Amino acid sequence: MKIAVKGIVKSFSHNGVNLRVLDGVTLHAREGEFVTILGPSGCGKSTLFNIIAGLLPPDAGEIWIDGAPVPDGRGYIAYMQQKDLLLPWRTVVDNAVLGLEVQGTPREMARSLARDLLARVGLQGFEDAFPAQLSGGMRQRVALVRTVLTGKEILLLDEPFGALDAMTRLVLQQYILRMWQEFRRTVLFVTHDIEEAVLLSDRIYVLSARPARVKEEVGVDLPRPRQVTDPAFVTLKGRLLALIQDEMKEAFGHAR
Amino acid sequence: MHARIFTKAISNLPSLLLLGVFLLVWEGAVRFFEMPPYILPAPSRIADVLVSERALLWRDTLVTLEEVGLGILLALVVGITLAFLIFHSQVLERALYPLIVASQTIPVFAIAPLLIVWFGYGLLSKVIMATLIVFFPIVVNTVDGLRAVDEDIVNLLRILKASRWQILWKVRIPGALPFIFSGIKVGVAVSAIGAVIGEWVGSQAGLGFLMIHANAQLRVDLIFAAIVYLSAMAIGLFAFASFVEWLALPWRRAATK
Repeated sequence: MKIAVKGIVKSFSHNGVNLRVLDGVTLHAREGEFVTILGPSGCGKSTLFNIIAGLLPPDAGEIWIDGAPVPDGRGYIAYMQQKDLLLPWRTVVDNAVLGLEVQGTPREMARSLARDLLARVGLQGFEDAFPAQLSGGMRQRVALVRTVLTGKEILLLDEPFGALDAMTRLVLQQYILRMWQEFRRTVLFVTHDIEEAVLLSDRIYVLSARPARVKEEVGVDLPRPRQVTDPAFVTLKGRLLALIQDEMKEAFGHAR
Repeated sequence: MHARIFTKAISNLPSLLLLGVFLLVWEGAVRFFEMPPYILPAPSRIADVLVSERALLWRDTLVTLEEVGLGILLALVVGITLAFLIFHSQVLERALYPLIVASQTIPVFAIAPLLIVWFGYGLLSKVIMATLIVFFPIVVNTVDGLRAVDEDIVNLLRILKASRWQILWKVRIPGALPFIFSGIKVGVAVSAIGAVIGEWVGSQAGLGFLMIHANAQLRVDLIFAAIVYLSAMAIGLFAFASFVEWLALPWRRAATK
């Protein structure tokens, strides 16, 4: 097992009110597996990722990597968010090499690796442009290359396409699949888009509404490349939708 | 490039026109009311002095320029160092920030005589006066700049196990640079004030010194000429700072294209 989180609990106190966000989340991903965490908005998916990344301490629970407990995932993981977080003063290629640079890879070697990957996501000719000159989709492609180039074996992708339009998303989904298949990284992917989850994942964890627990684990045994119109695809989508709708009802019930 | 210079000239046209009208009215009024030149000289007379006394004016400009230039450099070192200390530690922030703000409430004029007593009639007292005026906007802007960086970017580097030092060099300092340049430009624009006040209070050369002497001799035309040189010098410094900024921040140019 590449990464496992066991019984993660997290509460925040806000104006004296204690709000439990994660209520014992347990899940795992095997080496090279694409695992999606699907849940209604505001259910604590990003909090879980921040805990795995070491940005937040959990109240309880453990993180295991390669079969041993670790304090947090720092050093093992690369994190990609909805915001591209590119450095505006760096060119595309210099943004892409950031992770390698921090680890001390010689600059020219890092750049040539980056150029190669940038070309493969359709960014040849834009290596020396600044982020402000790129569209949102192009910027997110640079962020994807930066994430893959860190060389980390586990990728945490937190709604990386959340801010993009539907067309651009389709393109980026293909790029991410290609990168994943080529480099065989272990991916933890967060989304609230059911179709995206079915299209990309080997396995899907459906989280409950807040406080989040794993409500159900669903394997996606569909051959790749997948077709969104395939009846099996549609059936699975329907099943996940029903699960999510249950949770939404619960969430709105609480609100009332 | 040519087109851009042309556009820029066009955009400055209204202010140049206004200045021209102002000078014409001034010229006309002086001639019409037969104003004596020791009260108010005509622009044409000042223009004559700009040329005829150019050796004197140029020599004193160089003196003031040296004072101001060294003052700006010292202010950069002091200002940026203080900003890093303030950013680095809350204790230092609480200790330094109020004092730095308080230092700006004391008019340089009030302490100019003291500085002359302590640091003499020469270069040093003027440099310190210029520094006192210039460092403040640099400190304030640099601190703001160091804090303005998106914390999510900092976290991204933390997750990659970047050191504090790497985060500072790769993220905070480049992110603060536009702010630092804003501070420098504000500081440079007012930098001459300190040096000239120092020269008024006690000196042997410089444009301020020249003004005091011209005043004693009722050479009002020479005072105006000195003011023209002084403001040309300040504009030149500002333009230089803007040029360095343009060179140092190519990504900002890209963003506005």
